[in-house]
Amino acid sequence: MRYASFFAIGALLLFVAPSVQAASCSSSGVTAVYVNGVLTTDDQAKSDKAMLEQIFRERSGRSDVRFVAGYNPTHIAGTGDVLKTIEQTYQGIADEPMEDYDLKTILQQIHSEVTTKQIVLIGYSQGTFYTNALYDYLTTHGVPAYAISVYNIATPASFVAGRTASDGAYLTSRNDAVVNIVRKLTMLDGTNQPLPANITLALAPGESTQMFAGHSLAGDYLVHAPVRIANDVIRTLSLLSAPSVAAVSVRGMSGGAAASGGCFDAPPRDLVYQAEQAAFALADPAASSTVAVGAAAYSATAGALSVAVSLVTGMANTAYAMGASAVAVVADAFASVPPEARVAGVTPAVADAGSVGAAIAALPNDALVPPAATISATEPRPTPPVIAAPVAILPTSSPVIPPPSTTTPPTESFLTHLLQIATSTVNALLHSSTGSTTPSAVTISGGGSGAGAPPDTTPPAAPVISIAECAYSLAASSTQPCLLAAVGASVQWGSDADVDHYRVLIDGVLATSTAAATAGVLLADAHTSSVTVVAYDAAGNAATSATVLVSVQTHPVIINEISWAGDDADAGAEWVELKNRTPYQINLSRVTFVSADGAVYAPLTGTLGVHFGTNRTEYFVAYRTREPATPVYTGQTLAVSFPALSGAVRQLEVVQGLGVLGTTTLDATPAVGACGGSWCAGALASTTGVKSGGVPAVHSLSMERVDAAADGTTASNWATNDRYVIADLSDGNGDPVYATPLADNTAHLPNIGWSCGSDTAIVPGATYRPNSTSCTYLSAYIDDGVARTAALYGGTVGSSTVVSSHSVSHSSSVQTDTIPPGAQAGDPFFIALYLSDTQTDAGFATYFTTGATSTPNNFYRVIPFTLAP
Amino acid sequence: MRILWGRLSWRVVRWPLLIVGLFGVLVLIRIPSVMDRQATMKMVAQVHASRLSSDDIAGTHLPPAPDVEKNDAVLAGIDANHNGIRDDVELTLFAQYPVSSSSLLPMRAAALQYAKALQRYLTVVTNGDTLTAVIQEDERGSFCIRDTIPKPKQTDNDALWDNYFSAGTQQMQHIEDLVLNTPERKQAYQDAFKKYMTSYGSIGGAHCDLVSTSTSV
Repeated sequence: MRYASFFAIGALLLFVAPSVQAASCSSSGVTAVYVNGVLTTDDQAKSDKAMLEQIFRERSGRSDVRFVAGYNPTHIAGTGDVLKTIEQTYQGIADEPMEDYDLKTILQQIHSEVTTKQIVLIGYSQGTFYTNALYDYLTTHGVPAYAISVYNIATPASFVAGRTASDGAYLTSRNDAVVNIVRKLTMLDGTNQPLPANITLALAPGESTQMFAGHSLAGDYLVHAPVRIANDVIRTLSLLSAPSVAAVSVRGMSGGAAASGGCFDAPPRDLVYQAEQAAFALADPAASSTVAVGAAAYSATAGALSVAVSLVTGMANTAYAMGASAVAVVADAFASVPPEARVAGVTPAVADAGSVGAAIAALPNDALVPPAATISATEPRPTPPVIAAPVAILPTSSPVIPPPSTTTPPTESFLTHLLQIATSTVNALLHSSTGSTTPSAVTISGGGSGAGAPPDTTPPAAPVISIAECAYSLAASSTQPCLLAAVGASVQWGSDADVDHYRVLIDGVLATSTAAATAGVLLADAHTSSVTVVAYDAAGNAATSATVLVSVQTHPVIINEISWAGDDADAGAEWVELKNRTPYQINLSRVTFVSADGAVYAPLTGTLGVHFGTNRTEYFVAYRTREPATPVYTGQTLAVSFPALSGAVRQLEVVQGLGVLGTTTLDATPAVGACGGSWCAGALASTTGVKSGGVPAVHSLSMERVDAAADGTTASNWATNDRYVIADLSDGNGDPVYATPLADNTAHLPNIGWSCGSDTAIVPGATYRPNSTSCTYLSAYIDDGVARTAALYGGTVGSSTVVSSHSVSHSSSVQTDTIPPGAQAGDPFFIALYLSDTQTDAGFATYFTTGATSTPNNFYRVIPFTLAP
Repeated sequence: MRILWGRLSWRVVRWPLLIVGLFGVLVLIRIPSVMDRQATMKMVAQVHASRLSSDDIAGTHLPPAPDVEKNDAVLAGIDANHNGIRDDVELTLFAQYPVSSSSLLPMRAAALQYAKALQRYLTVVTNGDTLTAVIQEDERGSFCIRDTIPKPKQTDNDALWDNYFSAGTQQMQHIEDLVLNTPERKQAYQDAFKKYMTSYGSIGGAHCDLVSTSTSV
């Protein structure tokens, strides 16, 4: 029998062994687990994870963070996920998370991938419910709370597990249609509202009409706010502490080490789990193929959906009396739906697709942005509302026809609307799978009015507020927040005799309390603030106004470059370049170009755009006589009338008109006397370098701002254009224009230089190792159009070998240079730049490599450096 | 006595024999699974080991232009020089990053590596393990592409960084469009994920197959 036992165990191991995986747990490094959201396609989940990882690595420079995709699969062709979201939204955090099949799966799959004690969970959309649940699970199964943190994106959840719901804990766009819909619906009952939006991400043209507008991770959040997300994740990482060995040994399961190996204890693959796994293995593929077929029948009758879903899930033994019950059957497949959350007595019916949208649209817009919530890990989390009398409760074990509803619970309208979202999503799925342009829809309506008991006291009317300065907002679009250039603002509202006093809240925090109908407030610079006023009557009843968003950006528009000397062909070709420093489009009709002496007064028109991708529409040129001869973007230049700038030095300004409220100076150049009565930079017909044969080059140069963020009235913040000209920019004679209209200024670049990647130009004698093979040669000391050679040598002048050599004709040229693989730290290298032609190249090469000859001409420069470790 | 001994012997021996027999049956049943597992492990190792060669980047053995119809008749297309990159994609990338432009060599190498990774979705994915291996190589390729794009300084403003990230994404999208150029290939790519997607982690190491891609004179 001993042998028999041995063989039996051996045979058992043969089957079980492949599923057993050991995992180690390191005290160093961090594992970042990304959990995708509902309806995210599988390949998109992969791409999202990769992009998140890339963005984080590039911005943080950290290589000790390993990213793991905690895959949250789609079930029943997406229907299951929608219902799951409803359940999660409704449940909040009160229910036992381990009843969730997907959560168990994620935990089992990442168990071997999580190899560090420190963990960051990054959730997106529905995945944020899972990151919150993962946090709860992990902190009770081997991971100390101080070694794990959560960051959520586009979150419909009402909290971020383990964190104060501050800006850095999550990111939700005000234009996120999905979260906004959830917010509207949950505000009906005050149930687990999503966290307030904390960023405004622009929508692509035409996107606003889409159901999921502004919600895509790759298409919206990672495109418009990659740096913000990277910075937030970096901040989230900074919250972690590595568990000490001592802590591990004493904390046990409550926060130290996993008992079963790895960094935490994975949930067991028990019989219930395996049954669910088998059910989904059957239902998911079948549902995907059935959706397309079902869609056709579905256009005739909504009841077809319940049949199709029932068939593909294979879980319904009894047909539910009403079509919507089929939806509940799907929900039942998740096995975690608490009895209270299962609502029947709702009836699907064929209806126009617009009815769902209309129902949602009818909800108040001012519900979109609730007061900011602050929920700390140590504070009790919001409790889901108690359902006093569910419409109907479906037993877990055997689906039966529920009794009809007899009461109307307070959450009924909430659930009804959520189910409407579910059905409209299903409709969207059906349309996408069939390509149908004629929507067919199902509407699930509630069985009651949803009205609650009348309040004991009557609250005052909600104040209708406005910001006086916002009547002159710089924002170019009504979809943008009110944009102001000063931190002071006047909040106004109508007086109400029933009101005892008002409280003005800025970002949910009390700013001031007053009995008057106006209040002055100070808003934070470089920040979008939410302004809300709450009216209180003598009995303490309160009514809250709609929220007004105000973005303050001091110096939103600056003077960035002045071509006061024109160009080589026309000294009168003067212009002034403006730059938008904000993320918002600016209405230039609110801006006037003036001079301190009053000689210049030029109201502007048009729109000042933002930097987006390769579009540099944040620049705008106001010109006097001739548009800069460059391939400009339409709408970025404007002819305005002003006296010749070369004739007299002036202090130039841009001001915002505020009507009766006065003006705000947005930016100004140095005072007339700041530079001895001359323009502080720029040049008229100045000798700037050499041409072939040593002939002096004479050019007019613009006056460039050095630092857009620094004070424009400071003389040292202006410099003369350094002749790194824009390609294709030419004057009336076809010659280069020494200025950078509608492009970044280059005045900070040296005349001779070399650098690789994003590094700044090295100084001679530096210790340097390139971090990229893409290297820039600067040689403005030689005039543009004149041939030069740019080369990297290993060794010293007179005793070296050429590493790479390039023939270029422009003063700024990007070339490929690679340090030889065998080079050691401390080895000497040098950069050689010289005016070249066929007569001189060989001579220079000999001079640099052997020193056997003298240099063919004197127009060469050398930048020696030592290779860094 | 002999009969009694025979009965006793059988009573003693039959249980070990039964267990041995059962074990043998179990082993036989398990053999295909073990073979599949071994084949998967071999394929995963091949996916991770197959790297671009310097010849691939230099275009030493560039294939002739394939017949469009024949190339699109099968998912894998035509790979006449057997370097894992479909010929039509390889030729397009060489045209985009010409030999004469040395500064484009790193970009060409990264693009070829990414194209080779994407092609594997059409040729080697048979289960979750092979899909994970292909995804990991796909990620390496995408990281490599971003490595070839001049990076802003950490102190540069967000707009420059946004531009940098956007440039990498656009480049990857361009290559994806080249590799997944037919509805069938797009479908096969998506099916690989639908069937086998699971949780996974990134692999470490260098992003680019070949880092020394510069030219010296």
